[in-house]
Parts: sequence; C-alpha cells; structure tokens
Amino acid sequence: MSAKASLSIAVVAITISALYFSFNKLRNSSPGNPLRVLSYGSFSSSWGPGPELAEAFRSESGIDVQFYSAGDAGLILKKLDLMPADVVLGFDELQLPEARAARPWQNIERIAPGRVNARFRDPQFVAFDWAPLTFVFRNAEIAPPTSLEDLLDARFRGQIALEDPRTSAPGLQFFLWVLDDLGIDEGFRYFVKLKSNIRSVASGWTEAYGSFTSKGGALLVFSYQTSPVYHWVSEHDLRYRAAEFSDGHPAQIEYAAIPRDCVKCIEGEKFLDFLLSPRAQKILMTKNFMMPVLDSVRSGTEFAKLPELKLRAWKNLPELLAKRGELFSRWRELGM
Amino acid sequence: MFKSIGQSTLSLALLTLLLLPLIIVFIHFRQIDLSWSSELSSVLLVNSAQALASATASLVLGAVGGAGLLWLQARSSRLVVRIFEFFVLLPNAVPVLFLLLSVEQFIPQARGLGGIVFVHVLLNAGLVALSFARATSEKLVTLSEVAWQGGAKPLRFWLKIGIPLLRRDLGSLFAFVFALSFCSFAVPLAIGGSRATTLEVLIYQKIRISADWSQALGLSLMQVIVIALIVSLLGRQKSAPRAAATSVPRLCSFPLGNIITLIAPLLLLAGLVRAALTAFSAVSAASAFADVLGNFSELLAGSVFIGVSTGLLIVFFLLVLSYAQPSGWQRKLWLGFSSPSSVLVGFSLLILFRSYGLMTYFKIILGLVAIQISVFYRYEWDALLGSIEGQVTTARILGAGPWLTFRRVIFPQVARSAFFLGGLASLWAWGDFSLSAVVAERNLSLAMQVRALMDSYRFRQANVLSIAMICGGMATFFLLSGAGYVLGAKSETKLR
Repeated sequence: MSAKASLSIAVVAITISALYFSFNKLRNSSPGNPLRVLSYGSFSSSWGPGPELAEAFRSESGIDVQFYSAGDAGLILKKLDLMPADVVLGFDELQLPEARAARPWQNIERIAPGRVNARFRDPQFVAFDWAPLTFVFRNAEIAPPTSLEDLLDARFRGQIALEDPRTSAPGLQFFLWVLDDLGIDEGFRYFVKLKSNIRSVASGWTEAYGSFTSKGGALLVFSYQTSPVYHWVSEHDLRYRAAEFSDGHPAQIEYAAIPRDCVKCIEGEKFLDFLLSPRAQKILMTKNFMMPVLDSVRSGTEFAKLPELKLRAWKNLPELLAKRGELFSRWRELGM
Repeated sequence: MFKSIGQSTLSLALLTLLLLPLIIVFIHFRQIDLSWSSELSSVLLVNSAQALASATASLVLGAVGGAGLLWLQARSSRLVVRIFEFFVLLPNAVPVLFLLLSVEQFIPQARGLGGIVFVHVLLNAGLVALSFARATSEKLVTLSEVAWQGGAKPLRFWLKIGIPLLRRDLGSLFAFVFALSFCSFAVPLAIGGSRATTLEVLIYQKIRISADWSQALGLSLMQVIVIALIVSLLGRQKSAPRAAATSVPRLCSFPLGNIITLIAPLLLLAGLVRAALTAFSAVSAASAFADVLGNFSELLAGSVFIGVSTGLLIVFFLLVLSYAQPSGWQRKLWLGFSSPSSVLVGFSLLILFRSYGLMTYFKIILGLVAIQISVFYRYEWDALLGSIEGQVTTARILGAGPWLTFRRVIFPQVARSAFFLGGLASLWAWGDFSLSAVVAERNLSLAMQVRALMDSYRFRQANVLSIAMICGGMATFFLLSGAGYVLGAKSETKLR
C-alpha cells in the first residue's frame, strides 16, 4: 500500500467518524435543556440502569434526562465542580462527610416522606440502592467463611482477593470493618495473620472480581451480597454464593442528592421522587444488581432468594475516618 | 546549533504545551505542597529500585529479543516479519488488566517487587526489541559487514563497536522504560502488595481519597524531578548517524532471542483465548450481547477517530519538534519530563474546556497526546535527532534555511520513525480508558465500553469486545507505520 493510500485511509476514517458523530448528535439531541444527572460510569452505560430510568421518567413526567458519567465513583465530587449537574447519584456513606463539607446541598426531606426507611436518608441525601458487603465464592470450590476469625483458616491460604483500601470503596469498607470490630492495633495484627491467605490486593473491585472469575484465580472475593444474582440471572450459573458472617456485615449504601446550585431543581426533586418509586427501584435492582431501598420490590425476584444478612453498626467510624492517612501508612507497612 | 527565531519560538511553544496540564491545574488550585515525609522516602526508594530493575531487565532481554527479530528479518518475507511484530506489540495494545489476569492465571507466583518487574518486562521487552532492531539495522549495517569480513566474533563486535555506537539509543530506551516503570500505576497496585506503592498511586490517593490537590501537584512535580535526574545522569552521548536499512546487519542476529519476545504475547493470548472461549460458550449470545452491542458502531467510530487522530497528531508534533530542534535546558526538560497522571491531565482539560459533545473527543485526543509525546521523545526521538545533528549543522553552515533543512535533510530521515511512533500512539489510544473516563461524559470508545463492562460483572462480554479493540488498534498501527515506511523510502529516493 502506498503512503498516499495509507494516509488517505486515515483521513477518510477520521472524516467518516466525525460525520457519524455530528449526525448522531443531531439525531439524539432533545429539544430544550434536559435534567442533568451526574453518576458513575457503569450507571449510565447502555446496559446500566441509566437509559431505562431516563426513558421511564420521561414517559411519566415528560422531562428529559441526560446522564453524565463521572467515570470512577470516587471522582464524582471533583467532577461536579467542573461539570455542573442538577442531580448527583452514587456517593456511598463513607463519602458523605466529604460531600457535606465540599459544597451546599438542597434539603430533600420533603421527597417521598415515609416511603424509605429512616436509616437510608438524612435531610440532604437519600439512598437509592444498597447491598451488604461480604465474601463471594462458588459452591463446592471452598467452604465459605463464617466470621473474620474464620477467614484466617488455612483452607483459604492464597485464595482471597481483596481490594486496596486506598483506592477502592469496598476495600475501604473491609479495612474499616476489621479496625472497627477489633480495634486499631488488634486489627493490624489481624491483617498480619491474614496475609498468607490473601492472593491479591487489587486496586479496585473490578480487578479483584476479575481475579475471582478468571480460571485459576482467587476462590473468594470481597464483594456485594448481591453479586451472585448477576451470575444466576445472566449466566445461569447457580454456583455463586455470598458468605454469611455471624457477627454481621458492613453495607454499601448509594446516595442521591441535589446540589444547591442546581438549575432544574424542581425537576431534580421529581426525579429523586421517581427514583424511590417501585418502578424505578425495580430497574435499579435488576440493572445495577443492588438491593432496592423499597423492600417490597424484591418479592418474586432472584433477590428475594438472598438471605437476610445481619448488618453491623459502626462503633468508631468518625475516629477511623479522621485517622485515615495514618492508618493507610500502617497498611502500606504491612506489605500486603 | 544554528536556530532561527521561528525555531526558538516554536520550541518554547511546544514546551509550554507539554507543561500546560500542570500549569492549568496549578492555576486552578493555586497551591502546591512539597512537604517531605517518611512515607515519601520509602515510596521513592522502593519505586526507584523497582524502576531500575525493570529498565535493566527490559533492556537486556529486549536487546536479545531484538537480535531475534533481526534474525527473522534476514530469513523471512516482510509479511511474516509484520505478523511477528504484531505479536510482539500485542501486550501494548490492550489494557494492562488483561495481561495481569493472564499472569495471574498462569504464573500466580509473580507477586511483590519481583512480580512487578516481571510484568514490566513482559510489557516493555517487545517494544525495546523492536526499537533495538530498528536502531541496529540503521546504524550497524556497514560496520558489521566490515567486521564480519575481517573475521570478528559477535561478542567482540558488540563490545567494541555495537554498544558504543548504540549507547545513546540504549540510554534512551533505558530512560523510556525507567520512566514508564517509575510512573506505573495498575501493575504495582495489582500484584505489588501495599508496600510497592508508586508516586502515581500516591497522587491518585491524594486526589481520590483526601481531595488534596496541592499534595497531588507536589508529588507530580517530584516525579518530574526524579525522572529528570535519572535522565541527566545518563548524559548526552554522541549518537551514530543513521542510514536507510538496506539489509540486515551481520553478527547481530540471534534466533533464540525470538523466544523472549514471544513470551508476553503468548501469555496474553492464552489468557484472552481461554477467557473468550468461556465467554462464547457460557454467554447466551443474543441476549447477553444485545445491550452491549447496541451502540457498537458509534463506539467503533469513536475508537477509530480517537486512535487515528491521536496517531496523526503525534506525528505532527514529532515533526514540529524535529523542525524546532529543542536544545540545552529545553531538551533536558523534554527528556526528563514525565507527564502527570491521567487524572491530573483529564482534570486540566475539563478546567480548560467546559463544553461536551464533539469537543470531548478532542479533549481525549489532546490529553493522550500530552501524556504520550514526552514518552516518545525519550523513547526514540531524542536519539534520532541527535544522530542527524551533524548533518543539520552542516546544512545550516552551507546556508540552508531551517525550512529547507527540515524538508531536505531532516524529514526524509525522521518520517519513518515519526509514523511508527504515531502508530504506537494510536495503538495505545485505542486501549485508553483511564484518561477518557475522566474527560468524557459517557462511553465514547470500545476501550471505555470494555472497562465499563468489567466494572459491572460482564467480564466475558468485555473479553469478546476487547478482540475487536485489539484488531482495530493493530490495523491503525500498521496503517500509520506502513505510511511512514513508504513515505520515508520515497523521500530518501528523491534525495538520491
């Protein structure tokens, strides 16, 4: 192939792609300004809950919704400064203190009063889905752990995939769970004992779960109690199970909020109200593979087959969060 | 060095562009924290040892692999060599996560500091081999022929002639791998354990967890300083002049070297094929792929646009650099500068351009160019410009202006490399999701889709889609590097 031909192909490729985008943009552009909703990447992807929620909300209210991806959930707050939005979805409870401190939020107490359990809301933030965190395993491959102490058992040697607390939300949950339960010094002694059972400490949930699902990988991963439902429903693989700890589990709760500088504030409130409706909760549950905040939605679905896990209450969370930097330094010294 | 005002201005402008992400973030946050801590000392120590080991091992094994490639070039058709190069570059064409998952499946013992070095070698040895083979072909053909006719043994030839003449190329390659390993993010986190933290991880941590931008900026600056120090230690060696590779140099080929360059792609392929087979057999095709492939054409177009444009823009900037000929402190800055992390570059672009839609594609392309350009300068460009410096000076003494010198002396000798590096840039752009995820408001490319699929349990669909991504990336790479090959050959013919 000549250089001219190669370069021509390159230029034609660029031109065709650019025309394609322009055409697509014209085709997809909606009249007026839609409600801007900022969330994490997989939420707004074509298989995530975002597109179906937007369609359902439009059919009910006539309001167009445009989802914006913040990429990583940990970057939502930073991206909000540069990408103004009317509604933000995806903070977990460990991010709430930072979110409160970072900017003012609308009071949303009047939205869906009494519909959601009090533990799932405060004046400015309301949960839209949640899931207990636990270890996920495949039946017949390994006997599941039943407590933090049991995780130290020799049968788990080199089989556990964890997430790094410094870069992952579930990783931070496990880290704080151990330190909150056992105390800081005893907790670090526990990590030293756990070390031989750990196969990998991944940067994020994706890497850890990838290690768990790949052949020859870890046999146990720290994930959500709802994770097995994905494999039951999408892969018809019923081997996946979530471990049940007698002392209880931490939970990841995903919150929504409306920034004080919203433009379409009324529409934003309507959207949050819609998010807490049975229709939207069902979409969130089946597309996001998380528990709905309305219990009634689970009945008759695969989620109803999940056991009710005991949830633990934090004892010293504010103190642990305040010492985060120092605790991370100690974690690093462990050489996990 | 004779430089016109235009060249000096251009050189300064390019340098400003290079530093722009850091400048923008600094202006936006107005604070920079350069405080020292015991944590920082230990991170620097472990990180430097890791990068040093990764660079040394990659260089040695890459050179052996390069000798294998030269052996193949002497005995096989161009098509076979191209296919082989395709395999060698494969580890660079996919998100590093795929290689990590393959390593975990087949070599689970690869952990800790040794594991990081091992994966860095898998990632970089092929690229080093390719570059080593090209530099050897272009610089040692005549001398190796003379040495061979004089009865020299290969080892003696290498010690007395080969290594001294390729010293600058080897130095550039060492600096290239050192900087990549020093700034590595995904590999140390995945298999290094908590102690093997890099500065890049610390930066991410500061931004993501403690929202401490001033410290993140301080750490970024420290990263630049460390790499600049290493590069300045390497010094500026004289570089041998290049010539068009008309034949494969004798005494430089080693058939077993090919085994080394094939380890990484075979490992990666074995993991991918295993995963893809499982995916095809286990996922009930129509239903599982319906949602995923709904916007496939748009994502494919997005990847083509981002990949090709990034590649061409890199070619453009490299050619402008060869026209501007940065020298003195500017050259040192180009050599020593390591681009800030993709999160910082992404945020700088979001600060600069607030609009979305089509503009997002341009932001991604600009960001990728900002991240890659200094890597390529260190990887090959500096050594290449050094090798023709004498000719440029002679042309200027004889009265040729900068443009004529560029057109008649520089361009014919650098076009091939510029397009090769442009091809590499496009290959990496096809696989990028980290910068894109920060900049884009939705999934715009296949790589972003692959990552989003993995973020939501769909590893099998991600595996299948990644095959399309690899093929597209490779097609763009060969398109651009092929264009450079022909363009370079034509320009040289015109000169003769």
